[in-house]
Amino acid sequence: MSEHAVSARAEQQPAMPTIAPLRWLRAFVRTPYFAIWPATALLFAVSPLLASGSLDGSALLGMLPFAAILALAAAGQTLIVQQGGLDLSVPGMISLAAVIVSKYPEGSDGRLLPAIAIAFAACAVAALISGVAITRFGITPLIATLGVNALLTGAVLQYTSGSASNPAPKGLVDFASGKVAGIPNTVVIAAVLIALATFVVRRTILGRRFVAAGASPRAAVAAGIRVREHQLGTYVVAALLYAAAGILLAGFLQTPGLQPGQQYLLPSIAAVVLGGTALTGGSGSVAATAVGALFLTQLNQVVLGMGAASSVQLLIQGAIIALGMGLRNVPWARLRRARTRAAAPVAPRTEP
Amino acid sequence: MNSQLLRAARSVRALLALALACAVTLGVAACGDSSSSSSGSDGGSASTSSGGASTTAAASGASAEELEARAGKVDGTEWCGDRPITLGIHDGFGVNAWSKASYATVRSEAARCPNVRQVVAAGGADLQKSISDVNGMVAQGIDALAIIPDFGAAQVPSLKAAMQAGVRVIAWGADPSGTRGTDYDDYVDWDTKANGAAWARWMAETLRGRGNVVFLGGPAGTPVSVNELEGVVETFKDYPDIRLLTGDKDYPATNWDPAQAQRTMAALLAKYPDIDGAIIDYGDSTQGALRAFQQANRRIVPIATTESNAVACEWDRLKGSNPDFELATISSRNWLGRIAARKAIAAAQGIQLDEPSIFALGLTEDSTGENKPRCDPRSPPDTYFSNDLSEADLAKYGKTD
Repeated sequence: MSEHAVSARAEQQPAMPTIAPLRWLRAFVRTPYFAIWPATALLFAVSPLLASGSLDGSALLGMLPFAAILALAAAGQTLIVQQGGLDLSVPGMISLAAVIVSKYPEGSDGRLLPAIAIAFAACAVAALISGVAITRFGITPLIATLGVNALLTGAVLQYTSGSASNPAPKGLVDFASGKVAGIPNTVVIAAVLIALATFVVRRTILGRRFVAAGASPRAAVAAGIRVREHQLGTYVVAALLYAAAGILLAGFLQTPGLQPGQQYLLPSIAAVVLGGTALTGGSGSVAATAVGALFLTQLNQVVLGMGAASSVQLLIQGAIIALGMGLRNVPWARLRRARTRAAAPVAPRTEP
Repeated sequence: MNSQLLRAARSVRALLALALACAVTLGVAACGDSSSSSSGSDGGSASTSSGGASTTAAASGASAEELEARAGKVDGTEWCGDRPITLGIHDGFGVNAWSKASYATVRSEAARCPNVRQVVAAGGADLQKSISDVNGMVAQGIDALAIIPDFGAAQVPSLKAAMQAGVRVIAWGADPSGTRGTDYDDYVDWDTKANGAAWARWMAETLRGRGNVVFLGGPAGTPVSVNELEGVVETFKDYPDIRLLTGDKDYPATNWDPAQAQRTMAALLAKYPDIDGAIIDYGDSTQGALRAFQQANRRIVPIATTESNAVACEWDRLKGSNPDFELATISSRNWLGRIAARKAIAAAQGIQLDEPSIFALGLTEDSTGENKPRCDPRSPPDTYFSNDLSEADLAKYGKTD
């Protein structure tokens, strides 16, 4: 928020004083994180026209948990992207966490809590490996996380000896498919964690330093910020989010199989980009990413519900994502300015 | 920042976005491919069969039906021959429970011959490794090869090279495409079209010839599901009041992945208020679909699929609250590995073995008939009872070393 709020305020100084919420809204509309909200609203509005029944209660209840789990994974990915990285170990992390919480308890709810602790710890250790490789040995994030993903996949196969169906314990299953006041627990957990991440990034000193370290590591070092420690910490926090996604996924799927995380790599990156966080690092929005995850999941569901041929489904999905991301890159502000300039050619403006 | 630089940066970003969108689209398809080899459910197309099901076995004297009933087991060992030989055993995936059962059937059968040494390897879902494994085995001087060519046509050149080096090659469990006789000696598998027909017949009879049915296949366009759908459509022609809601030409894809199957089924349930039966071409997918029914608070309908302990246990658990829930399954067919082992060894020994190659399998479990679905809570969820494998054999032979 910081930079955008500042720049928006600077632009608005000559304008009339407005009430605070309205000013906040105006500033928000100008950020890259705004577009995904109306896009998602539009998608939901046209959903029933494309696939009847896709807004029914049961259809939404079937879709929302998947969106929540993708949102958690994509939130972790957002933090990594803000540090100028790209995390390819998402599938391995989710799979490992899912497999640990379904195999370790051996069906007993008493062993569920230790299993959850082990899952978080295992993912944190894996993140330390890629984090140290990146920050201490200067290995490109892509390569480091790709390698760690292979290690994790191996660990999953080793741990399960290839048995694809270890059922999650009943306690976890009941929790992951349960509801609070009609809202699926998975959605509640995702909302709480994403709100927490947003608060830390936006409203704390730690968050400011985190953004500064991602935007320009050199400038951050010059400003006395310990960039490497912030990056390392980011990988660990992201891994904890992936682990949370994996644990909830195991409970929701009941029998997660060997590679439940495999489906989450590209969607997690797509959700980040749809949300408006730049792949170049720096500032970003975990909340917008979560909305991007909701958009992707609902799109998937609507396209499935249309009953088109699988090839057509993939084409539609790809086209809409390309359109969504392409529209974002149209320089609207400059077009608007060009029109203004045509009307009043004297207006002297500098490039932003 | 000057404006030219900014423009350049913007177009790079647009390109990146486009590339990512393409990657997402392709990625979905690619994921499907990889799970096709990992699910172990990939089978042969009926078109490659040469009427093998009707021939009788001279050496074992067993027909296709008898072999199916006995999980491919025969009494004699005359097919072993007496010359000491080396048998190569390979599976393109080789790490999941289905692969374990497959190793166990091939290896336990080959172990009946004291004169046969075994060389075993797993491709680890890696085409390159699968090819170099086979080349390595040929270099080690194997006389015969029993292989699950999960990568199909891509593995044919390596199989052909083995043939030219004098190795007798029996492919099984996954369609190698290619030509019988030049690319490999024989191909042993189930008849995927017959699977569809068996499911459809059961479904039509269970619904008493009237109702709306959905068919869920694996990855988009996989020959396994395409052939199965063909069998379903042909059989339903005899039942004019059965409607296949998902269409005759294409099917909703599950990628043989429980999570995707759950989403696909959820979308179908939202779209069609009246579904009376579901044909789902893989047991693991069925587990996902069952959860979609429960999530949507819909009564579970009769389901035809492939066997697994987990699915049978779900039927046990849910039948009470869902009186309409009937279950029919087709064998996971790992027992065909016994036949593949015998064919490979007999071929290397120059013994004529007239066992069938392509099997039109019947139902191995049917909740409306005598062979009720078999749930054993103490066995692992992905146990396949139709293979008739002892726990000791599975532990001893269900691996590569």
